[in-house]
Amino acid sequence: MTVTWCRIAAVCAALLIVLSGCETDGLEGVQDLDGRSINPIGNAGTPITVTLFVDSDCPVSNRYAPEIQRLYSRYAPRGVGFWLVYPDPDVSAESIRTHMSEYGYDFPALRDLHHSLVRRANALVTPEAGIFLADGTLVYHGRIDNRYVDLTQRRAKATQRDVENVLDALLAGKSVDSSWNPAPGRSLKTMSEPGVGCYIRDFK
Amino acid sequence: MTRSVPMSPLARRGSLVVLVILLFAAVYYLSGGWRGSAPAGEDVVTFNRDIAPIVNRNCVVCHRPGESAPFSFLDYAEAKKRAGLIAALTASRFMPPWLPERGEVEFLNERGLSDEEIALIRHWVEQGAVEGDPADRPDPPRFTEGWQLGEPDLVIAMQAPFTVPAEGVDVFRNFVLPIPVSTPRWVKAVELRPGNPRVVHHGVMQVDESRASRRRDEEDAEPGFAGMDMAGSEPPGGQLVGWTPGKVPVVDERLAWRVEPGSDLVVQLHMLPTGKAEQVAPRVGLYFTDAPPREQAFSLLMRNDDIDIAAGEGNHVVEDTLTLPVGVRAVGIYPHAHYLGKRIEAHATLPDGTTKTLIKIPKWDFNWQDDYRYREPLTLPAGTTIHMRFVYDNTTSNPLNPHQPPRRVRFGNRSSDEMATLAIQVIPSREADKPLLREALMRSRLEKNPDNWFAHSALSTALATQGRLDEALSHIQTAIGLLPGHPQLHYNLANTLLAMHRTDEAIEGYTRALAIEPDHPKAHNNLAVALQRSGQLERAIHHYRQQLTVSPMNAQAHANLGTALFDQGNMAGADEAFAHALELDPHLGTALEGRGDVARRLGRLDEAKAHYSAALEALPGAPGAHYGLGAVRLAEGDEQAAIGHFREAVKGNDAYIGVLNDDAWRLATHPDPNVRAPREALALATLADRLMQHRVPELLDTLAAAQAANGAFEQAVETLEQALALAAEGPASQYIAEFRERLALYRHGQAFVADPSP
Repeated sequence: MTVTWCRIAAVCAALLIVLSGCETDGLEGVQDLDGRSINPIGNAGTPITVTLFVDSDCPVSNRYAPEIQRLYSRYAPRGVGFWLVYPDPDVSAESIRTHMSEYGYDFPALRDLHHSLVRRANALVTPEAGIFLADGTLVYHGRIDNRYVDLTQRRAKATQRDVENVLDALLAGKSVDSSWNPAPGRSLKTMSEPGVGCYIRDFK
Repeated sequence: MTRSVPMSPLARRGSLVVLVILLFAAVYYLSGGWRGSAPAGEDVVTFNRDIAPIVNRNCVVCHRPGESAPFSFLDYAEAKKRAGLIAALTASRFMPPWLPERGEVEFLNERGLSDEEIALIRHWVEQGAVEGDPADRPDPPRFTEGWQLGEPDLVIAMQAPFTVPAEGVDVFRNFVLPIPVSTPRWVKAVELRPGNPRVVHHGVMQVDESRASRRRDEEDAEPGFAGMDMAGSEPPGGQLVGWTPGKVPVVDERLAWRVEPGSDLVVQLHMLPTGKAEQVAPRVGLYFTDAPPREQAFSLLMRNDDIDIAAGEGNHVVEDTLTLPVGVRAVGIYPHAHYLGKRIEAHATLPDGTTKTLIKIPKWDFNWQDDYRYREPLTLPAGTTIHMRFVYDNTTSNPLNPHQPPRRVRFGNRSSDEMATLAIQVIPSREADKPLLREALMRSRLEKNPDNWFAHSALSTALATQGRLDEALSHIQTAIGLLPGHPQLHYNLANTLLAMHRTDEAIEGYTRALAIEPDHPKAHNNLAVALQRSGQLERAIHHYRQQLTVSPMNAQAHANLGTALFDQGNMAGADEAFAHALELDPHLGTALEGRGDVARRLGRLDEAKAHYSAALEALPGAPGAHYGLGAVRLAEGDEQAAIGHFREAVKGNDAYIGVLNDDAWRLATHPDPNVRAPREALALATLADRLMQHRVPELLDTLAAAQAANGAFEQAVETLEQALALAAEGPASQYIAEFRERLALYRHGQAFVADPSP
């Protein structure tokens, strides 16, 4: 019994350290491909920002490239900011450029050397999205759509497009479901749907 | 540009709690509990000592640079970067991929980790995926780069690559690759190099002699044709030739299969869009052997096309059974269903009532389908009943369901349709058992669907091979009644008629097949054979030439043309045709025999002997070569040696009795006294008559003619009287009038000389 309690307590401790850390950290180690520090979220001029966590070697992540690019093409003209985030610190800026050109990405990319953005967006796998409001509030994190059921099963096509739904709702000023209301001044609940892909924690 | 975010009230309230918990955690960690059940200190699980051996044995065959799987696990850094993924996918047993349930039946190259190995990987990850001492690191496994079986005897490549789009559903494409052989060859192994392994998920290879696949390929400008239907192709020699990542092709000389000139290899690839457009250009290596196989496999393809699954049905069962008419050994198995497939089982009930599991796949996954080879062949005696049972899930809870919401799904080749097929690769104990197996399979299909034209046609072929020509004729006629416009059915009908010696009707049948398909791959040749047989040499030669426009590389077709030109008396033309055949295949026995025949006819006996001897070397026991050598020996005056060769010829093919008889007749009765050779004629006729034990009136007639030609009229009369007595009882009665005329001649001391007009 004591051992079980100890285990639970230890796990909680670790989690809280991580969570509290994420709340207090700045965005250390977030750089553009020229090595300049960047804070992609909380830009007053951009009401909604989407960070998309990708991995140049992860096949699940790569299979989403056309979908991610399509989201960019569809929502960027409506004022949504888009950032591609590479959480693998071992991948050089040069490799990222090559990867982007191979997979047809044409919006800005960031390296997240210390996983500051990963923590802010609660990202667990690639590919995954984090959707932030202008004040830095995370309103959605998780899968892009439900094409992958889990790592072993994928649907012929997605039947639920989570990122699209959230962006449409935000842009229309509507709530996505009864438990969630993005209207200004209300307390916000972060929505999430677990992503399926390659674990970001393995990069530590 | 960074902006600090204020600590949330929850986090502030939690600070005290955190402190307390940290204390607990510290105590727990120090007590060693943090590391789970792994031992402390130097017994920490390390990559070098504990994990690398597992990974090397099971994973790196695919997970290494240039291979099909993502990530290379050859070095620690890469493996660590995917450690959590490795732990999760091994724990779920998704990796390494292996569908059949373990236990009751063992397969070759089974993949999978033990529970202990999976636990070890989990501990390694939990402990922080430690590298460990480099001295513990095992040597990396050695892999053969490129062709796994060494440089192939023949490499077949695509002319232009196929482009897989960046995204979308899985792509099934059948690439049709002509096999450039000019003569039949025995294939002991096939190796597929997918070209772009990251895209290709699995492949199946079949052979098409019918050109149906080629025509499908021509329907659009892209290489190959779409879908899971592999057109007219079939598993070569009954073999299952599949490719999945990491699979090393099987070399089995005992089971070599025959590839005919003009055949196409059909390579079906299942490809996954990767996120960017990808080019795919598979190459296939063929490995030949000169020795014909000792055993030949048969693909026992059980299938039930009666599939109709209502939307929302979660446990739809499709079954089939087949009782084996002969005993076989099962060496491999390949089950196939599409995305609704949920569970697949097959077992055999032996005549003594015991059952054997053939395969059990508790959780079917279309994406990881494969063909499996048994570790030890399973003996299935005659009378064994094979049952297959496929279960389908057409509900929304099957995430792979291509229809959301579910729709009624029926049998079909598209991936959104369903199939229930089970190919069991078996080895019958005798070649003659194969048509019996095919007959049983086709009768089973006809029980389920009496209007299945394909089953009627295949049953007809199986019956014809057994010599049951009347039944074969009836089934091929039924098939044509069901599908009148299919050239292959008319071709098969004509083959049956030709075997029944209904040559004129066969000629009509081939002509109908060619009217529908003017470049049918074989009909010109067989029509020519029928025409040659009915003495229409001009037309026969025309169709042999047509055959050569369809398949110019076919050595046998050149040789066939040679025989017709020979019959026509065009020795120069015949010799040229045989020479062409030999350019394509220097060991083609029939062409060597043909050149021997030409040389013999032109009186160049030494040259003839050389050709015949070469033919016997290429094709030991070749009856035509023995016959030719016999004739040469006879001309040289060595009657004993000649008779030895003639005997061998007749032993190899009893049709040489007829040839012997024809030659004896020609030499005994030829109108040109320079051609006539009574002594040789008598030797041939005596031998033919003796071989058939003096029972065939036509042979006795020839013997009598030879005796008369040698002046032995009394013997001739006696022989022909014997022939007359036999003819009265049998089918030779049509000759009675002729026999009587000749008898009168012999009684008057005159030999019979044939009419000089042809």
